[in-house]
Amino acid sequence: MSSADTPRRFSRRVFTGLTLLLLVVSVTFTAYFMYVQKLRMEAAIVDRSRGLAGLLATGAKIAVFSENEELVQETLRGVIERRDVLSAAVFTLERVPVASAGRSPAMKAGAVRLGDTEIALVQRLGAQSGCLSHLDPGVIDSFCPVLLRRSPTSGLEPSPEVSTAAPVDTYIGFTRTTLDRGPLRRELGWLAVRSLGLMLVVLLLGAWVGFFFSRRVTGPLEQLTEAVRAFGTGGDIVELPPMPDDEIGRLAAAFTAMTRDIAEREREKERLTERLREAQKMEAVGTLSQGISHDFKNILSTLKGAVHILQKGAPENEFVLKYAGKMQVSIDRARDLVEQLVLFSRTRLLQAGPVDLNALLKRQAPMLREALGEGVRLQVDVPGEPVRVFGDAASLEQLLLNLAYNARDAMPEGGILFLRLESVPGATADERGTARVTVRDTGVGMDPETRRRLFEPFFTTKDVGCGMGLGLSIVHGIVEQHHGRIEVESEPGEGTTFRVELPLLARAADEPPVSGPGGVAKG
Amino acid sequence: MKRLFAAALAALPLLVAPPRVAAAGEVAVICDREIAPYRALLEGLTSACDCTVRVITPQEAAPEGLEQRLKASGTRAVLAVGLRARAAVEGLRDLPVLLTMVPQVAPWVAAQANRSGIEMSLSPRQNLETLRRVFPRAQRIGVIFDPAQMGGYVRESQAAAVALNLTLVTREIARPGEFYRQLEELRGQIDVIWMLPDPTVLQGENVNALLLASFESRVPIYSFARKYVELGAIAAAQFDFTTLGDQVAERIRHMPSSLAGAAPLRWEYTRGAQLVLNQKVARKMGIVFEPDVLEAAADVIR
Repeated sequence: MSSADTPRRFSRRVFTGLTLLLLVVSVTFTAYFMYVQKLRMEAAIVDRSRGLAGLLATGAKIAVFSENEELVQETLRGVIERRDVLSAAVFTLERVPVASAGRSPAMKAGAVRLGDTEIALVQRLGAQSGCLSHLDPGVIDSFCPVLLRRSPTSGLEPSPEVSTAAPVDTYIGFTRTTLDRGPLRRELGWLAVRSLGLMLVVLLLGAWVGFFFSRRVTGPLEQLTEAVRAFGTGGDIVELPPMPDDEIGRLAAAFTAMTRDIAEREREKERLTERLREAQKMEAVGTLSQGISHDFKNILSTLKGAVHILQKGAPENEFVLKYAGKMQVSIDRARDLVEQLVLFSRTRLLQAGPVDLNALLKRQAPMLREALGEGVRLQVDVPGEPVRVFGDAASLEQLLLNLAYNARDAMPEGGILFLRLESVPGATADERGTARVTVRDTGVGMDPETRRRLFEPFFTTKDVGCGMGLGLSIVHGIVEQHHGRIEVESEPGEGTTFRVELPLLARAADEPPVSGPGGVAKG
Repeated sequence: MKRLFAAALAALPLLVAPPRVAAAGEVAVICDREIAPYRALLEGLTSACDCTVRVITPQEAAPEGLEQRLKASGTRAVLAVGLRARAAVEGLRDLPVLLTMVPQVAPWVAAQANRSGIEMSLSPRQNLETLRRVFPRAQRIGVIFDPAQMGGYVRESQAAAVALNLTLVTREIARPGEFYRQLEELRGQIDVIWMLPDPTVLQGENVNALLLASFESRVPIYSFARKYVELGAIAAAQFDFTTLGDQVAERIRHMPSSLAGAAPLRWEYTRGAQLVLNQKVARKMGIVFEPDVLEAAADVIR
């Protein structure tokens, strides 16, 4: 059994089970209905037979007493004309026929013949017995006593005795009606045909309902299975159609929520992996920079000493002084590069402590204006109260300066640099808030590829010699050192916005360690 | 014995109606030969009367000019048998007319002096005597009747009952529907039910009700015709048509030559009676007939 066949077989099992159950119920009900109807119809025809015999007995009192056939002929005719009545007869108590009638002469003659069974039945008749019936395969014989409510005595009797006794029912004879059971059998046959037809209709209808029900049950299961399979093989989230609010619907909803959650976790995992990869890359660059910077600085110191000696040794030689000067400039630039590499590689010692960013921004604003130049206007928006973080003030000033340089370079035609500081509370009372520094320019913006590689060391969109491509990498490193986060939004022609979030310092006990030798940790 | 009983029954009216002088000549009998009792009456008449009998059917007896035709043919008296014959002789004024086989002859007879008749029933006394003989223990005789139909007969019966030391318990009805209630009122108060030839009483289901009440209360019915004995009445005194023929012959023989002064004696009850008994039903009711009664009965249903 393959998994692909399972839903189909399950629906077939549901359908087959329902159909079989319906078949059993239908057959049982039909059989029971037929049995009950047969009993009821037989009881009805027996009652009818007895009713006719009783009617005849009521009308035959005078005839039986006077043994006069004429007196009961009309009643007999009335009885014999009824449906299903084959014959009827009236007898005296001594079983002497008074009158009889039949559908045919043979039936009329047969009505007055009493066999052993009939005689035994008649002998059980009496004033209190009511009517009795005998069911033959073909006919129903019913016998009813003819009762006369008589005074117990008469003043004309030979030995008259005055009696005050109440009249009593006196058994003076009996009547017999014979009804044909053929119509009953035919009616039962028709009833059977109708019942079986109805059963077939119910069965077909039930099978259709069962099929519909099984499809209704297994359809969502199949869709759910397809969604699970698609999610399992490709991670695709298949949107399930709306389902009823039942167990299956709730299962589908739970599955959809689960797949979305898993997909979100996967995306988060990818983001984290990407960040880890970026961090590892930064770490590798940092390690490389750290490894060579010391030796490189020593080399530069040696070169700088040699240049100094050259300048001191030939103060009159313009040729020497000219190239020694160029060498001095190159050595300084190399030294700056090493300094930045050191800064990037986090080898620089951090002087960590509480820093009021509000004061820092106000203090650095003039320097930033100077760095931006005349074409770019700076707008600073800071809150009235201090915004304290735990960090290195010099590194944070470097962060702002690097972002300002980046903005200036993005606005060659001039523009506005917005600098805003705000305190963002935590989502919950227990969560610490953050200090958010937003730096937004009105520059040329970045395409997605540039945005993706923005913080990579030595990545730059500037002309060769106009930048090292370490500015934003250093910004990223400083943020990392302060356990913060940096986000960037930018579209070509729409400017660029950097958001730097650093953990707020609530109180002295909350002061966390800052990465680096001064802060114990090393990046 | 039967003859003696019949003769005794027949002799009673003769005690009050002395014979008159008969006139010789033809007697015209208007009757339908198709009816069996009429034929029996004619046979009795023919054998008992020394007159010439000429039978005319009611269809032949057209009322216009009938009397002249009869006189021309030498008819000296006319016998009308049945209702259709009575209609045919309505116009006769001179010829003496004797009417029979018609109920309520007295008013018809009283209307004209040439009319006389024989009532189609036994006299009350004859009936009550017969009843007492059949049911010797019976004292209270129940009668339900319509005064418009049988008022005079019941009044006469009251007098006869007193004479015979019997009590007649009567109930009157005006419509057939009143019969059942009156019958219920009689339950327990009577020993015998006397069924009269009253058309109001004998309508619809009244006969069945009467029979059922008789069987239930064990009170026998004394009737006036064999038909009712066959249905369940215990006894009936019905007139004998042959004897009626004798009575008619006798009346014709004594028809007056002159019509004057004959009114009080111009009608009489049927004298000839036959006793019919139903011993089968009587046995079921616990009634045992005396041997002489059984001997006297013309017919016994056993």
